[in-house]
Amino acid sequence: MIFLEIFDYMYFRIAQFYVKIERNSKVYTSATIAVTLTQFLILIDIVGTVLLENYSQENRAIIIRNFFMVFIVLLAILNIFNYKRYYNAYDKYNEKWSCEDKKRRILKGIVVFILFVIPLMYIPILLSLKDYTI
Amino acid sequence: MFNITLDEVEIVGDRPHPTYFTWWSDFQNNYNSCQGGGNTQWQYQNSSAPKGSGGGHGNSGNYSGPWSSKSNWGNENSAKNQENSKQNAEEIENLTYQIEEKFNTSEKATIALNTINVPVKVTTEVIDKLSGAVNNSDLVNFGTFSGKSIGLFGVGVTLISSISDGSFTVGDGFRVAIGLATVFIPYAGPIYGIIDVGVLVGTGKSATDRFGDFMDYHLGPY
Repeated sequence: MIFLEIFDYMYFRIAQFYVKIERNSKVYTSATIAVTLTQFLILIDIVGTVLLENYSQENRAIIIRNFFMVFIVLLAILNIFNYKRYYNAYDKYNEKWSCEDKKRRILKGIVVFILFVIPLMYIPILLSLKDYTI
Repeated sequence: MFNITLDEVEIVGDRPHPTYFTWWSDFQNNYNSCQGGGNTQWQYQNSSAPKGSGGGHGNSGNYSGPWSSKSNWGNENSAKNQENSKQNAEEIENLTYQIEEKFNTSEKATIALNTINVPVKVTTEVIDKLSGAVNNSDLVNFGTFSGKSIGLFGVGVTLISSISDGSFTVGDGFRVAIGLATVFIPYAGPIYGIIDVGVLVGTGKSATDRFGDFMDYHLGPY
């Protein structure tokens, strides 16, 4: 699964930053949660676009109120899934990716940055471009 | 490459020159010496061993270190040495207990091979265990993960609310920023997350929400 591979790499790059700070060695929580956040934001961006484009504010509010707990449970499941997936996984990824050349590493770092920032900025940008309050 | 040096262990006698031995034969010599076999003239000395014992399990007949009966140290040093010996013995006992408790067979082998300079890979997990950085790690892990998860949920809920309202205010931006800070700022982030939930449970509205409302009131569209 290429998507999971990208998220694994994302975890590795963020965990590399935190490895000297956290030193708990089992799971790097910031990296794990960053991956969960990205996955959840991609999902929210897709669902949010559909809701914003097809429903009025009143209907959106009703739908979101009814499905609010579903979103929260989904977020919790994603979080637990990633926690399990990346538990004691840093050394494995370090062995796999620590030897890549500098140019490739910078390029992949940019991809990881874009993958994190675009889903985060998408909804605020969409809401600022068009009036969805009606 | 991570080398482990145990202060309690030192090499006495003439160790064979490494030029004439491969690492494997070096390892075998060491192993034989520790097992009491082989015909090497060197061995490991355990400084916590009882006086005159020769230390380790090796060929003690060749031993001529400070603990041997040949030593001509004075009586005033003897008490001090015995005290040091007792302290070292306690440290070794503690170290042995920790190694037995914390490390699996593979990790023990890794440590042993590193002690004799055999190039094997030591994982961060082993290093952290050795340095004692994982004391109460599960509890700390859970606390940190929970604290940071609060920031994650904060970002998620803020964005869902924005979709529901159809607008993204300055206060919403502030809430998202606080959520991200909770996730990514070490130590202070998770602590803030837990305090935030404490305020939410105690007063019915989280501190982040209060700050967000304050910013909306002064800077936002409402």
